[in-house]
Amino acid sequence: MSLETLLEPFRFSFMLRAFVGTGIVAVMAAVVGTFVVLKGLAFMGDAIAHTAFTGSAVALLLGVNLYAGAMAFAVLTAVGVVVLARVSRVKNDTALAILFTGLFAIGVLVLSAMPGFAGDLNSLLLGSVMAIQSYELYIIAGTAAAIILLVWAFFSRFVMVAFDPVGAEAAGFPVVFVQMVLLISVAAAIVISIQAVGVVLVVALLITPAAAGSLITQRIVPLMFTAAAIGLVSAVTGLYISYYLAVPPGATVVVVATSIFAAVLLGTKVRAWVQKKRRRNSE
Amino acid sequence: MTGKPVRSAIEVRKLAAGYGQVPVINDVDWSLRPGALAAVIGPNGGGKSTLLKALVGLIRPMQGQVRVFGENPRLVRRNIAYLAQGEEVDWRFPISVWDVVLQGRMLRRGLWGRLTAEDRARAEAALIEFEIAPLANQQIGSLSGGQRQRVFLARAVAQEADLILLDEPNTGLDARAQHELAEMFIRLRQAGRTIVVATHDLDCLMECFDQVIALKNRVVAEGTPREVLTSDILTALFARHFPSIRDTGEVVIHES
Repeated sequence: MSLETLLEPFRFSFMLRAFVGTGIVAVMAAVVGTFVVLKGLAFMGDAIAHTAFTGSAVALLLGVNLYAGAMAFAVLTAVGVVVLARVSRVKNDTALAILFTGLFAIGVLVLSAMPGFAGDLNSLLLGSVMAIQSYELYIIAGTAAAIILLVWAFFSRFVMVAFDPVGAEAAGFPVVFVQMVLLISVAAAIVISIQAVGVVLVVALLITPAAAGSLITQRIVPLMFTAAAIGLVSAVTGLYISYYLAVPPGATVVVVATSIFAAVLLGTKVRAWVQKKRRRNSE
Repeated sequence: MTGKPVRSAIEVRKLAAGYGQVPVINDVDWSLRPGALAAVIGPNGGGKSTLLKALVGLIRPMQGQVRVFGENPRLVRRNIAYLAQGEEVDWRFPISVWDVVLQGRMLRRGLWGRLTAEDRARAEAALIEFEIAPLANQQIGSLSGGQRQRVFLARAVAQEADLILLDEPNTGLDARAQHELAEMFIRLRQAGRTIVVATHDLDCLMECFDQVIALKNRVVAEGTPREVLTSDILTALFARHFPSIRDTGEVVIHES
């Protein structure tokens, strides 16, 4: 690949914004996604993404900032999930599924009440990374910086509550508060990632790089860095492929991330098989 | 702790506790002196875990009262360490032995406190005390069952917990590991800590423990091991099983 090929997309300012925006959200989503994977919260991430969609639809209807609407709904869902887990008599995942599919359906109805809703629906569902505006880049960068700062400040507390919430609560540690801070970080990461890959695929950006990283390392900090690197590579490679093959960028980024996961999985299986064979031969 | 002398580490009066609206334990009265090593025994579903969770305030009493060191348990929680059943812990979690033990200091410092050199020194001392310093960098799930219990006990000591509650710590341990664990309980008791162990494994009770409470949704019996571990009480406790006590004091339960 020549330098010219690499630089070609950057002739267009919208492509430059797409690369910067997607790169930032991919790294940040992978960092918070590490906790999502470790705690098995993928389904909850999906729920937050769907309710954020409704928040965006309501914001469109009211003529307020899309991010503000999405963030409000996403944060409410995150807080609701923590409360639900403690008070609900229905199984958590059942209650969550009822809540988020209901809210998502309301979002579709709200959008359908507006003229030209098909375009908005499409961009919210599948992302519209090429349409990122300069001011949105500032929002994405600012939110990402706040999330990374929060993860840095609370890191060891997040780890403790993720690993042994019962033991921590028994010792009087404010587990609910820490869980809420973590889920609000996840919610914020989802909201600013929706522009890049859309509601349907945003969970992939959260969990696929972290899941691939967890196959490579057994330590949490290296896992975060590995996930961030995989997320960044997926974003950049996906956008190049999208540019040159004229395919949807959000979906391409996710396909690249999934391919990396598959390759890592295959690599670990082959490595385990080779090690087993070597051991047998030496015996 | 408040600093004033307390007569009981645990004081339970007319306690009813459970999940939802259904009480698992009813009318439980129990008192345990500080520095004692006690076992809660009983069949599965008899309320051993429920009692422990009520003692640390993880579930609220439906009726009655719980006092730990003379206070509401919620007020003295930093002095309580609770080690949940092994199946409730995610052993694949990518965390090292050192980080788990250091969490004991974090529990002490609370949400905003920063860990200091003294905290690290205390965590290191706990690692050495439980002979797990060479394992410090290993992932927790790569350890044997006995080593995992040592790590959590080291965390409790790093936390400076005066009351340590363990829920079924013997599950999955071989006889040697169980014996080593019992020795650690004795060492902790000698250091002045109060230990409560919920178990359905009755080995070792006679020789190691000070007090036994037999629970089958209500208190069936309470007292020294010799007072509680009788054929009559054990038969009442494990209705469909036949207990026998060997000359060595070892209690064996035969299934019908």
